[in-house]
Amino acid sequence: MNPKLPIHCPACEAALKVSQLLCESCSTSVNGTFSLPLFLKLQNDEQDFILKFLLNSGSLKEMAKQMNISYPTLRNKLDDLIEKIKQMQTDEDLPL
Amino acid sequence: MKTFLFNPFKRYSEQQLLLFGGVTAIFGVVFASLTNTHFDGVLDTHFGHTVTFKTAAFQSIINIVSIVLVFYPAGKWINSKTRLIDIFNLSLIIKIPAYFMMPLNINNWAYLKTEPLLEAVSNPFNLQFTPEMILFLALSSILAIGVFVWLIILLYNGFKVATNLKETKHIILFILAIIVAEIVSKVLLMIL
Repeated sequence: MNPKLPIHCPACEAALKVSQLLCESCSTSVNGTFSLPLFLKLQNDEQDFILKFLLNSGSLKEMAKQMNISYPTLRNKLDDLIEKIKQMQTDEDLPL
Repeated sequence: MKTFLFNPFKRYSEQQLLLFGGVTAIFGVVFASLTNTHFDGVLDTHFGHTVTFKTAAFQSIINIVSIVLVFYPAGKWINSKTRLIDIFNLSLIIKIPAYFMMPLNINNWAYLKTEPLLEAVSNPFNLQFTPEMILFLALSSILAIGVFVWLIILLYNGFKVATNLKETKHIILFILAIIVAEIVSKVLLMIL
């Protein structure tokens, strides 16, 4: 099983931050307060979408065929995602 | 099945929609001339006693042109990425529900049934409704309403997919576009 990375607090829905990183090889742990990269703050399906877009060399037509949806439906999905990322960048002033 | 009937634009490619829409449009013209059905307006279906192939084809072309003329600029205004092919396919696909009305006028059946009613409208006190006539009017009205609702759902879903419309002002523009397209089709049919 590959557990899903939680990005929101289950209690109050606020964005989660990373407080500890662990080296599996020597068990060294690093503590602090680190923000998640913007890509990881997206929903799983949105991350999958970006990966598929990249693997298809940005060809929406090819992606639409693979996903069995029409070109404008896919383009709308991409436009919505671009809008969401722009909004997240504006809200948090974060680079990708 | 739900997507196929109400939002084929979401799933099917422009080539598939163009082929399906083109074939159904040709079928629509042929069957309209065989059943004497007028599609004299973007939203209209009327029954006559003689509709030639030429008239049916002309009305079909005017309906397509009217939708494209109105909905393409409206779509471009909402979203500059709106494509002509998506609006053209929309104009072909939305007429499909109306084709289900055509069997009512095989051998001019609906026309012959409704013509005496239309003639009697000038003197409503002489209107005679037989039980058979009431049943016919009730069933054909239900079918007509169903067809109209289906057409509007297809039109809205197709336009939504083509333009990615979301805002209320865009929905208002869509409603206005329906009215304007209907007027444009009527005017074009009148002057051409």
